[in-house]
Amino acid sequence: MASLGAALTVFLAGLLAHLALRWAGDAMRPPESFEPGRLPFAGGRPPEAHAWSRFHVRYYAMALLFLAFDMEMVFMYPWAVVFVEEGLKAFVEMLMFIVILVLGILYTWREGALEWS
Amino acid sequence: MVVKTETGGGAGGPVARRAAAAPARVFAVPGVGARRDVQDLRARQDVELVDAPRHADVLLLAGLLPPAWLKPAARVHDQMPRPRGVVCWGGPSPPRLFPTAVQVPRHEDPVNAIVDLHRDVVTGARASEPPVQPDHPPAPWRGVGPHSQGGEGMMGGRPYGRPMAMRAEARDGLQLDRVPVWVGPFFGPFPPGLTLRVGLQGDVVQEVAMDANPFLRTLVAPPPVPGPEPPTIAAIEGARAHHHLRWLADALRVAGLPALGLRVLRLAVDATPPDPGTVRRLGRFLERTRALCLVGRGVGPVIGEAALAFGGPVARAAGHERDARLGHPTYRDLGFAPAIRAEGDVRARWRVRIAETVASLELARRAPDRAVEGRVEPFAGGRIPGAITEVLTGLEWGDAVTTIVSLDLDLEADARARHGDAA
Repeated sequence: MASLGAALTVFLAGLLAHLALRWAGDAMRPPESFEPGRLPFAGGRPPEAHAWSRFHVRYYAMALLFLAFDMEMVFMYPWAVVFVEEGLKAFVEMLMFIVILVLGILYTWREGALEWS
Repeated sequence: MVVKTETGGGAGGPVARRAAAAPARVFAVPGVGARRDVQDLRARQDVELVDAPRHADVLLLAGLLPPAWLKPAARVHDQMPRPRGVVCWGGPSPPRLFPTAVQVPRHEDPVNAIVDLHRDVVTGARASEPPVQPDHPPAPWRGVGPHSQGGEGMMGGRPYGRPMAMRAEARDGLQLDRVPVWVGPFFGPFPPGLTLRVGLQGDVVQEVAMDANPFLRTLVAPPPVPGPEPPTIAAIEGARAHHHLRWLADALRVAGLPALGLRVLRLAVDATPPDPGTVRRLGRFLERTRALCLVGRGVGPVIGEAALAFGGPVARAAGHERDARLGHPTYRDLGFAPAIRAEGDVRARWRVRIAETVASLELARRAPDRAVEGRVEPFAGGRIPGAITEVLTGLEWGDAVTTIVSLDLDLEADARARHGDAA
């Protein structure tokens, strides 16, 4: 019950701080209401196209790789718990598992999927 | 942090007084013949030149504005947050766009007028400049529904008044949006007047078109008529060194080294030519700290025919041994050798210009009174060749800006060259 009270207090304090800062900002300079003043500045000409546009998610290859090796990490967690008891056998099995995945990394590297551009 | 208050809200209060005591932030528009004077203002303490109107308190219109700049100047003025003021330094009287602006004659120093205007406008003693354009949305749009909802579809339609960017080939075979952007005449890193229409995919420049030179429609000052006496080495090489130092001050500022740029600007503004050792040490400092690698190793290559079209230091940075001083007897006697680099990238152009500055200062020091007859190597290219669009295509935006800065373009010189060709 006490922890709930503490959490609520923290939440309310954060909310009030946020609102106070927003009101202070609006009091100091309210948002521009004059229409031509709201145009973005790019040197003096008005914008030609919409600001909404789609961008290449160039990091998606990296994200997929991360996911794959994150799953490898997930498999290593239960292994780490029993490793000390099992000893050498467990070590060799995990080594085989990792070697297979390292071959995967080497293939990715050779295919150039790790290049940023 | 400077706090801006609407006039009447905090006018006259302690906050407004603090704001008035800060340096006046000026958005400067350099008109005909005013580029150097505006650059000199950067060395002053009481004013701070800013690159965007949203940071500015005062709009400074220096010199005569080309007619193509009147609408952009009006837009920039309306984008400045209130309270704002306008100072017209030279130009027609009364000013066409801003009748209530403070006018300063061209030959006078504008800083006092700017500081006074800033103080008066921030404390509320003087009214803020009213907007120039009518209060309509620049791209009005109304949907088909009763609450202005609905309308044409997203692709090929005009949501909220502007067309969506359409897809075009990207560099790895994908179809991505290509956003057309006008980077206008008053973009900070560019030379004043350079307007480019870039097609950006992400941050890669996929197509570039240069707008017409606005100074072509203005009466550009003719080149100075040579006097009866041929110029001396000290005059020519000293002027060349000053020109390159001014370029370097701007280039360092754009590259993210504003304090160093300010020191170089002070060297350039000083009437007496600096010691060549100072500039040589500066060049070594930039090399040792790898600042030049940061700026552009392998960036923005301009080689071959394109480099020859630009001429001057750009051609010499691409390996071409073209210098009007090479065959000249006076320079041959002094043992002149031009600075040549082979790579043709941004770093090579920086190195060539710094080396040329040092060489010029040494020549001026060694034989100041030797007269130079005949044709002289110009300090920078005149005409901007069409090859600039090929140079910029395919670069990322930061690299494109660095490349343009490294080419040392001057639209007034381009207009002068074109008038000269037509004559």
